Amino acid sequence: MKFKNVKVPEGINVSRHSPVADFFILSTGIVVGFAALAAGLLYFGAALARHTPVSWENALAGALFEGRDPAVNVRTTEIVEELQALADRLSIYIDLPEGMTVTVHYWDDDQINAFATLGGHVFIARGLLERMPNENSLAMVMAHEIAHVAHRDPVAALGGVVLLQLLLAVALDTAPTSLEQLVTGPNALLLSGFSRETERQADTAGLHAVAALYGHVAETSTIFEVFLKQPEPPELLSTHPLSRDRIDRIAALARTEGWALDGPRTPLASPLVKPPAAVR
Amino acid sequence: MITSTLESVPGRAITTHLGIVQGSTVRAKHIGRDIAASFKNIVGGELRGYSELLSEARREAFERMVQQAEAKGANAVLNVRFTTSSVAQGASEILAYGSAVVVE
Amino acid sequence: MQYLSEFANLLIPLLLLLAGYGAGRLAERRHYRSILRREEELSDLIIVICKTLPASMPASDTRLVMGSVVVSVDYFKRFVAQLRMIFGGRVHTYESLLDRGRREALLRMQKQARALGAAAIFNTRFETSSISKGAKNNIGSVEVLAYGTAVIP
Repeated sequence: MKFKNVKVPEGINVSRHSPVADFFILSTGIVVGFAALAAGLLYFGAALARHTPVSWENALAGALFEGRDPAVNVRTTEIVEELQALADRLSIYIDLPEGMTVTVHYWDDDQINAFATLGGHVFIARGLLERMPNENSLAMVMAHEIAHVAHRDPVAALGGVVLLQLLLAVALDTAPTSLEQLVTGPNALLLSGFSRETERQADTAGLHAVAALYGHVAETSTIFEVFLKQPEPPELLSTHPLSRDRIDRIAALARTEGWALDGPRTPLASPLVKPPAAVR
Repeated sequence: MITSTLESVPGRAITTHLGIVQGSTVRAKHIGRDIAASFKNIVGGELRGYSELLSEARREAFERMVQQAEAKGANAVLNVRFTTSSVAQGASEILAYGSAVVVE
Repeated sequence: MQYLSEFANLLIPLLLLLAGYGAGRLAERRHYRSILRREEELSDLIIVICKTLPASMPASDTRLVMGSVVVSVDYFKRFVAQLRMIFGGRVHTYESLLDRGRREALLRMQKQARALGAAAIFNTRFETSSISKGAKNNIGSVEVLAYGTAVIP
């Protein structure tokens, strides 16, 4: 019987493996996984929200916008009435879900902007109105926003954001203290952009309505021509498809549907010409 | 390589003791398994995910121990033992160790 | 002001990671150098797992010897291990921790046996425990205990 201690080579129980490589692979995995989860939740939340009853959306909108209507005074009432009348004429040709009504608001702001939000509320900014040469061009904007309402895009976007906020709340261990905080979180209502696909669908539905109302699609590209004159972010950064693409799509759609690209322009109703700033 | 939990190989004399050999590995289970296991915990029964994880880890620890024994020039590892310890929440270490010997 | 605090919130863990990586690597290398040197010194004191003493072995006395050590990983390795625990699999960054702990414990046991003038240590066993269990931010540290019977010729 002998005793002989032989040295064991290194590296059997400790694998040669760089912890730095591990670190980068794992953190990339986390980031990608989280992004995929977030995208999935946005999509799932949107799909789920589209199937909620319209009455829920209206109730939520009522609770959120209670007493927050933009300043309306004698001089702007006429504008609102004219805008509402245009919206009502267009709504006939857009298939709104049961129980949904479109309410137009005049938004006293320099931005060239219009948006649709929960409960069928559509906001048209003064900056946009000032740049509309006739009713046809304004009708395209209005029909586009009504189409968003009809497709329930605002509530879908909100649904996605709410789910995402829930995920963040779980991940960061910060419980939202109220439903309102969850819903209005980081500008959930205004900035929860619609995807480019929903924008295209709204363009198409809006164009159908305009063509049905006026019998031609003249001036429907005007809004995009206006945008083209503005400095525009590259397409990747913006959820809206580039204005040039949208103009091309309108022309292509008009060709396939056989709509006239030219026709008599309808002048803007007088209160909408040179809209005044609201008096506070 | 003879591996045994006995202290000798019956019928064969130990000629040389070569000292301790050991093999270890640390394994973590992924979160999905944790979630599945927490559901399974309600009804009880085998947590198959954990069973597989640990037996796979044990096999690797054992192989590493045998590798050390080979490096020492042994032809048997006697009195082999396994221990399992949790290093941190969700990570287990499996250690296998034994006496490397040369038998006739 | 708010940006500053958010920046600091992000910067501090990053600095800790870097410092942990640098210092941890240095400490680990130093520890391994010392382990290898002492293993060389004590290489003639053999560690046996078996219980029974060979009949040919002279034994005037036997004594219980033990060695224990608590080691911890650096911030960086712990962070990587925590990421790993989400995905599962081999936790490479803890391997060296356990290897160092186990060898250090053996060395301390051998040192004790050497002081007694022993020729070999029989029936050696390990006990490993994580001493930070229950703490919310589990610190990756282990205690390794090695114990056995020193055989004094």
